[in-house]
Amino acid sequence: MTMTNEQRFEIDFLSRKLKHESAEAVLQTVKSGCEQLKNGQPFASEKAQLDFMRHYAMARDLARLEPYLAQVEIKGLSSEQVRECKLMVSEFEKTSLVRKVSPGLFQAYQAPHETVMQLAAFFEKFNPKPPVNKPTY
Amino acid sequence: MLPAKRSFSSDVCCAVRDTCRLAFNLQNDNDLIRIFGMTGAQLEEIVEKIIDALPDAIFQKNYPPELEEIKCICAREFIFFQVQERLDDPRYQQDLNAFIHLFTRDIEKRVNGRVASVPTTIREEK
Repeated sequence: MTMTNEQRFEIDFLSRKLKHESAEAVLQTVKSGCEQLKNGQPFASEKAQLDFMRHYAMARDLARLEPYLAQVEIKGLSSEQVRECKLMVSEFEKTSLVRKVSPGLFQAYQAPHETVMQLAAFFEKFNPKPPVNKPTY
Repeated sequence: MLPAKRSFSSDVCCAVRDTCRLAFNLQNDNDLIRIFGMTGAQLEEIVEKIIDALPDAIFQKNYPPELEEIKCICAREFIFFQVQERLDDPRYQQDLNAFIHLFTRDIEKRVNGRVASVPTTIREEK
């Protein structure tokens, strides 16, 4: 199947960061960060948190390349890596509080207040608070 | 720029700042340089550019719930785009224009899908 210019344009945009960083490095950083978040551990520093977020955003873009896998080879990216990105992003977003409330993020029929709360709940995952140590008497 | 778009753009910037407070401990606009590599004024200018590219029709119809949803999507997608970028990168303008083009396309599909009573989850996991 011949690719359209629009498809080629989208592929180039979504894979733009592979010029600077390997897909494997992206996957490893996101995996490691997700494990940390699952364990409720905050990031060691704001820099580390931002670094995770940047790589998560990259993985999210790479995951959106899945529909094109059958049509084209993308330099520096294997089908397996794209699927792994999609799985990680999907798993991460599906475990958010939002998913327990509604089947998908930002559903059209939610009340405006709930929609804003969904956005907040989603991003809260990137800044887990350490447990509060309550004094014992 | 339509007044409704300008107002919407301001709301998106608020949503971005609110989210950054939660996710990145944003205390004031100086922290935006740490997070996005841009000042508050630059953030507002770029978000305005993104919103201005959206079809006027979205802001002329009376769909408050839909606009609220689009506002959250704009904030979310802007954050995920900009956190990967730096303003001083020679490729920034090109990548921003590409982002705006694809984002506008996706929002149009989303809105058109809703109008046609076809459920759509553009940019969300099914």
